[in-house]
Amino acid sequence: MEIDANTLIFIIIILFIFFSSPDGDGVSSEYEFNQLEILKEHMRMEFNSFTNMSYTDNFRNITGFKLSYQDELDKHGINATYPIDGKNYDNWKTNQQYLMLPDEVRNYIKSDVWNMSPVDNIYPWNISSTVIGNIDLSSNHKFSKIKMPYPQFYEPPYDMNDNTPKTGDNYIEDWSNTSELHNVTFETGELSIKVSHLDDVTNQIDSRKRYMFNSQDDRFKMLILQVDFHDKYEKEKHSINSLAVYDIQRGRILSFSDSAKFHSLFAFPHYLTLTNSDSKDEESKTIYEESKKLITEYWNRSNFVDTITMTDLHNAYDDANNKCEYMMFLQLSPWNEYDRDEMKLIDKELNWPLGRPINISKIPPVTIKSGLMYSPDCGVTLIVNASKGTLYEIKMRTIRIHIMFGIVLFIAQIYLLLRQMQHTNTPSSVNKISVYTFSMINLVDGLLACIYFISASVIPELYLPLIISAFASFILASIFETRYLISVYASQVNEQSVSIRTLLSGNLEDAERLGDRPVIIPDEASISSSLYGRVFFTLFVSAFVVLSSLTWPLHVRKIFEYTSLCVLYSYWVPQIFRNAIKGIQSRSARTRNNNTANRRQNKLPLLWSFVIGTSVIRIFPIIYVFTYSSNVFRHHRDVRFAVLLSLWLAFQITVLYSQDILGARWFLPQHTIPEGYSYFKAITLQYLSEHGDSNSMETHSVDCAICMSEILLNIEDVSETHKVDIYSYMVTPCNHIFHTACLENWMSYKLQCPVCRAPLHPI
Amino acid sequence: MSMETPIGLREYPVTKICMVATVMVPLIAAVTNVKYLFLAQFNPFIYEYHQYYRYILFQLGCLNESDVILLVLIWYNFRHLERLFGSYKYLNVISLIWLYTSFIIVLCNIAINSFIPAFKPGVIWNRLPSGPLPLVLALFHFYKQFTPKIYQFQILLFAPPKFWGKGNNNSLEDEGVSNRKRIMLTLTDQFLVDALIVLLVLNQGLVGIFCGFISWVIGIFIEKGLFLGMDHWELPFVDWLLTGKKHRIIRPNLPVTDETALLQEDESVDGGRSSNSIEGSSTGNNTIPARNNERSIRPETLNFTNTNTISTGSSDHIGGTDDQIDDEPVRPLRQQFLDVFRR
Repeated sequence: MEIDANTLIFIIIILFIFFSSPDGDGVSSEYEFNQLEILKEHMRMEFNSFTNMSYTDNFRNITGFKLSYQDELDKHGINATYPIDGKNYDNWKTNQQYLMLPDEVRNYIKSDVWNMSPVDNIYPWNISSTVIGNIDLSSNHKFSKIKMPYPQFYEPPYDMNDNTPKTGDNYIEDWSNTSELHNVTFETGELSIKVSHLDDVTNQIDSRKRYMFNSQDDRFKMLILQVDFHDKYEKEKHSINSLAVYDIQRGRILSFSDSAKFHSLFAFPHYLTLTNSDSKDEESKTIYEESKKLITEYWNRSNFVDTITMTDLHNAYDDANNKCEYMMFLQLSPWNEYDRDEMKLIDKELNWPLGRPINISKIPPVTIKSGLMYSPDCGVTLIVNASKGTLYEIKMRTIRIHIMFGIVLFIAQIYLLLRQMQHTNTPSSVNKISVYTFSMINLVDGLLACIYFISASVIPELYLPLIISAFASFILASIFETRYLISVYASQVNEQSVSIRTLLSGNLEDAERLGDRPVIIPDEASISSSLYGRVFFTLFVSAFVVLSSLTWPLHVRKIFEYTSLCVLYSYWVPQIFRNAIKGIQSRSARTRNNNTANRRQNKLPLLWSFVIGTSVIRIFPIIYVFTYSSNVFRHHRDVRFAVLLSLWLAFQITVLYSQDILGARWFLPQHTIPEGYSYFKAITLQYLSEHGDSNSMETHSVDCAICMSEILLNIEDVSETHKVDIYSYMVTPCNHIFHTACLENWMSYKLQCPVCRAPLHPI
Repeated sequence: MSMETPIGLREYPVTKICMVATVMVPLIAAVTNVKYLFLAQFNPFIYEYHQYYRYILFQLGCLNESDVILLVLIWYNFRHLERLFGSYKYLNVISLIWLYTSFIIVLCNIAINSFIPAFKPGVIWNRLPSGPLPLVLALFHFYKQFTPKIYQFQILLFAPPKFWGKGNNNSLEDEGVSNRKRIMLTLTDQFLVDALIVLLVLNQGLVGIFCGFISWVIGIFIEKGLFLGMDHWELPFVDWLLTGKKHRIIRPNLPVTDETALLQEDESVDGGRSSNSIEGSSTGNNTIPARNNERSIRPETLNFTNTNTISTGSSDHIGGTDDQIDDEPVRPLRQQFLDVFRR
């Protein structure tokens, strides 16, 4: 299709409509507007109830906290409609009468999780990191489930005319515990908690300006936790995105998931004081007041109600239907080796590196000593075992060093490739190189460039080094390698319709087939455009496959990874076949052949420094990732695979070397190798009479069409001409004769006969 | 010395090193996130943390991008100095100035910071300039001293007043007076360098002005011989640093002794295919001035000045004077590109 300006504008408009979504709060109908207004009113009401609540009050009309565990035990299946008859709203005690936690769980938290004494211990301020550890299922059927309804206005409309959302609560009916959705079925699993700090908030939708809100920065911090846990084979995955409050003085983290059925923001103050049994305790009162202040500040500064969007509403509704709610209680290990000033210095240096006197490599990891996850609506209890994670800033430093090392590898590869290109600078020598070898190498480099480009936009801290690596790999892949591919491809266009058997013999065609073949060979411009297209298409398809493979289950991913690595690391195999097809002589034969003209043409196509260097450069990251267990990619350790892959590569190199020593066809049986075409041969008198001019019969010579001077010939039938070196001239398959120097010089530009344009096969 | 300077930086290895380093050092520092190494502040780094290495490093890398651009332009304009001194001498002068400026500025910094707080507590000279500003300012004196002004021109800042009050009888006389007194700006051909230096100094604020002034004075003292070393100072390993690269150093009137070695290099570069080459006449003596030789081994002239190794063997001397080089056929750009990919 011809694309003119109008079509282009049309496409752009269509794309614009396609990609543009409603601005601001995302409301696109009256129903949604009403939904959002009701939600805002609802949240305001709950916040009022929260501000009026004191340390000695029970939760009143707050979604998700209307029932306590004892209520559920007393009247099984009780409806959570405020107010509940006989419920004591004016008192608060930390037992199952008031809490949503069973006493057993609450006691476990007190004795095993939040058991560090608040004095003498000092905890890190900055704990942004990804903590990795194990999780054990404690019970998934022992405790009753507390019913959690969600307000019905969250539901989408039933038909197009529906303008007013329904009132009242909805209890999810098919809340089965057999499915993985609302239960945890594995015994032990892997846990990763991505901790990031929430220090500043925006107070408008679509605003970029952020405001600090926390006036008690040294005592409490707001966190965002991204909790993922799954079984060993990644068959059952759970993911929770939640807010958390970090009590710096005591090293405690409390986190609640949040959804349409669980407005957990208002519950932090009460649950932070969980461990204190005496309600008149001064300490818990302080904790309560301070954390309440934190929540209020967050609410006010972020303009919480006004920044709710339809997306938030939809997410809350989906989470309420598809996920269990979780409460997480985590206890950090203290960093007692530092005092307060040093901690401040570390914090500053990590935020804004200036070379302060800190030994960064000695900074301990963020360690979760113990923890517990409890789901009130699914009745699941999970024990978090000790888990660790390096600080985010330190991790970024390590990754930066790795990236720099990668850049060095890229530069080394570019250098080697340039030397290789220098080595094979004529179509004849390029012809011996396998297109597939370089396509595979090119694919890997192109994929790396893609990955670097994408990650540069994802990780802003590492933008500069990532974009430089992306640039380096892109240059390597799309400029040098593709350029080389084009010249290799162009030199092999002659052979495209020829069978391997013919290629082995080196005879390009029989005389009668000469007419069928189009004599005009496509020029480099058309070859390069088609090749670039093909390269980029393969690149994008494989980049897509690789990116989507990251989300596949573990065993599928593993199979995919191992097979693709095995395939991509067989890049010398096509070259071995190519060598065999081109029939490069053994080293001894090459040195024996002292003819200066022919010596250069018989060299091996690949430089040994290129072969060894490329293999080492490419196997090195694999060895690092597969053998170094604490590698930055969190890749599993599999020494056996790394060794096998290296051996496979070494085997390929050995075969290449054996081809260098023994000749490229040593592994082929003798009878499968037909005789190749030789440009150097003696001439018969008959030939001379057919092709020569009038006086060539007397002088035993013809004229070279290139240099216009005469060529003395070695004629079989005339014994006095036998002194003439048959290597001084060349006879083409189309029976034209040139000086060796003249034709070789020409053949370094084009593999066509200068007289009749018939394709010449490379020397 | 001719007025025309050689094109590009081929003949200016030291200038080239300086320009490349001015760009590459901050770039690499930024990528590796160690830019702070070039930040020299008395408090807290020296006073509190005792990181004295910052006193040594502060001239080596710039902290902001505008300094980098200004310095690269200034280094480029200072290339006349390299031509005047010769590369060896230029490098030695630069290193000497670096030592003097760093030492004296650091000394001033320490001295002032131990005196001022006695009179006015809390006031210190905290920040040192970043990047080779002192070095360049001292070199600026050399530049001014040794570069002749080729031309100068004047700019009238205001249009000359014409017949201010028509009714006034004295208007003609007034005009004559104001014409004589009108405000003019006199610029020379060096005004670009001057402007760049002013920008560089102002760019770093008070510190830049102060350190720039000190360094300029240091430059004068070094040139006048008040500070020793101008004649005798020599860096070790300069030979290795400069000749390790492809570029030969301009050493006027020095015989080149390793010409044959160069020729052998030529053969290895030669593609070994016969081309329609013009055989350079062999000069037979080994005392071709280095520059001629240097020009004859430029890669793009190789194909045409070299003889075919197949036919003539390796014993031929390939020399060539400037005249012969000029005779070589001019290759269009297209062909040059093609040759690059053919090689």
